[in-house]
Amino acid sequence: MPQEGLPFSASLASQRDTLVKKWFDGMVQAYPESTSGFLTREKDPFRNPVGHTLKENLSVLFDGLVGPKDVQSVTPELNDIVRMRAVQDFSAGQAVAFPFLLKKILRRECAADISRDPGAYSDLEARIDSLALLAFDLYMKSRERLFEIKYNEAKRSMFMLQRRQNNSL
Amino acid sequence: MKEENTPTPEQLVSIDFEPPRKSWMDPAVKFRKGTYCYSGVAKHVKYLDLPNPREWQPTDSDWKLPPDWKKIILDGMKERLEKYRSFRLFMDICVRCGACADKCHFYVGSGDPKNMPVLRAELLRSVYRRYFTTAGKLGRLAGARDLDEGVLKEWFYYFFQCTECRRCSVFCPYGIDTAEVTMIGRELLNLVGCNINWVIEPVSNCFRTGNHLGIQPHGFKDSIDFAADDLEEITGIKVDAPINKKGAEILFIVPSADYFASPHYYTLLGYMLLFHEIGLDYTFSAYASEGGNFGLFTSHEMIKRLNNKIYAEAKRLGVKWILGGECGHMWRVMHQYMDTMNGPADFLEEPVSPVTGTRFENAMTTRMVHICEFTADLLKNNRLKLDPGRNNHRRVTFHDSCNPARAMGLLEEPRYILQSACNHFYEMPENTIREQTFCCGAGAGLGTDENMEMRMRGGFPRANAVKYVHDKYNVNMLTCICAIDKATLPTLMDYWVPGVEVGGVHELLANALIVEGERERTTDLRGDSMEQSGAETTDA
Repeated sequence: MPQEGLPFSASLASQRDTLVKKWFDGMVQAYPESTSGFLTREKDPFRNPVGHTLKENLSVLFDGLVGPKDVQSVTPELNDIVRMRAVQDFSAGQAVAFPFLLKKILRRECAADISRDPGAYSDLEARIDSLALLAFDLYMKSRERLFEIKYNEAKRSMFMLQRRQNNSL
Repeated sequence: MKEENTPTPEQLVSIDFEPPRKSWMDPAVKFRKGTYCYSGVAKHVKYLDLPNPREWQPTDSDWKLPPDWKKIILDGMKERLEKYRSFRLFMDICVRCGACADKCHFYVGSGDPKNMPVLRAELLRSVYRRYFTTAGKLGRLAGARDLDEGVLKEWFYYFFQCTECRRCSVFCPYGIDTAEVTMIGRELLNLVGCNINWVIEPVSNCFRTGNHLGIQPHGFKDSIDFAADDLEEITGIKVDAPINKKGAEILFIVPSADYFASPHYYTLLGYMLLFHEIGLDYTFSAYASEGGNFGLFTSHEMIKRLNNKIYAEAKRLGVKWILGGECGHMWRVMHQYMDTMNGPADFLEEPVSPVTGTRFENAMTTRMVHICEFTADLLKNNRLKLDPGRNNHRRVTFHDSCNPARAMGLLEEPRYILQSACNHFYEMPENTIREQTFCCGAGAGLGTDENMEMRMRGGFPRANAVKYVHDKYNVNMLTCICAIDKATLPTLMDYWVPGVEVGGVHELLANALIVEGERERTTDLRGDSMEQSGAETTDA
């Protein structure tokens, strides 16, 4: 519940678990019905790495957004999510759109806080936009990485051929 | 632009799986680049006398199937239902309890429901019900559906998205082996010429030269000689590596990647150094130059055709028994098919270690022993001198390769070797190792680069467990005993857990092995310094 009288960021922090859960739910609902249940229910991080990666890292992203630090401080956690989405069945836009989902959730769940301090909310939206841009950069890195790893794999498969050629030069 | 045309955040993040809303019975497969394998090239299909060689790709709308393809598939299904009791049982017995549903690495990593083993098998089972059961006449009510091109394309998509790792079968209360369902599914697809090149080309090469890569005897000899030279440079010792030596005691079979690719090659160096140290009377064969058998991913007939060379070469060379190297699916074939298909190997003797005298009774029928069993026995009998400190620069974990773990129960021997040869060994979480090991995501012929996105999805559960030990214990080497693992896990690590290298068990053994007459060792078999580097973390 919103906390009357608390500053905007402190009020958001007090609703952290609810808001992160809604963010998580919004993301897993994008998967087929039979899968979203599994991603939500299964708590073992090794049996459910996708759900676990989302759950663990979304909390950190949320704290990074509402906290005082630079948004870039959450790059490793954002990368864990984006790297996963970069190889799942998403288009580029779908893969990096999830920060925007948080805006919608905030507008719906924190209307009172926002109307009390629209300036602070506007700042937070700007931070969410920065996070989305950072996600896009990381997405591109992951996609480039996919091509690099293909190249490296091909080189390893011809290891002896290359060595023999080098030897005969 | 009108506002309603602008996608909402929910629409933007909606994953585009088919069929998210429709019934699973309606086949709808999109062959998106990165998630499927290219088709078998006509010249290789032709070379093997397989049906319907032609140029085609899964993305074509016309797959150029034979006019009577449906009859061919249904006749093929009938024949296999009569021939393989297990196939009929697996078609009939599933109660759809769902125990297997969330056990497949492709399902866990991708979220696509048709990668639940139960549903993947149901793709075939629904056709079985329609044409081979009375209840099937009720159609969809009875879970039955007509065979059409859409169904066939769906089979191709999903049966080449199963790595036949058999993790799901560990959890099935009825013991249904979904890998066998996939094997039959692929066999049926092969009847109408629907196969993938990363399987068919190695099969064709194997049939011609004995190995996947098409390496001829002089090329094989070059590689082995090269390895002997490398060992001399590293250790100062010139090892003998006989090829086609008649009358040798033991025939040694390796996967061809061991003498051609990296990091497999360092495992080959490991075997050769070990054999030198114990004075083993062995020989390679330039024709049985491949333990791997991609026939396993094609058809039962093809397994037999490709496997035949193993006993044929053992007989020709007059050896007493066979030793096999670090390979995955090779051992499923050797352990579970070879004796039935090409045995009995009554011209061979019961394997006995010439060093320790141990009788390998477990290999009484096949007469073929796994290198890890052989080496673990040497260690158990204190026949090797090791300095595990030479591997202190490696913080090691072990990936149970699917086939040795689940198809032959080889769980303790590789660990015993690693724990003898390394001071820093850490297990991944319990539900990701041993019988429950997660596949590399690229087995059963799916390790090709055009399939990279799918491989990264399927390998994610394995990588996730490696990341855990990398973060917690600073693990920097993932060991395994499978050639496909050694080819594809480095790629998986490069993407998910950078900083973790991949190596073989016998590579680390040979790093630690004190060899008589060796010069002071400053580097490991890779030429890397043995000095410890990187941050130390507290041992568990």
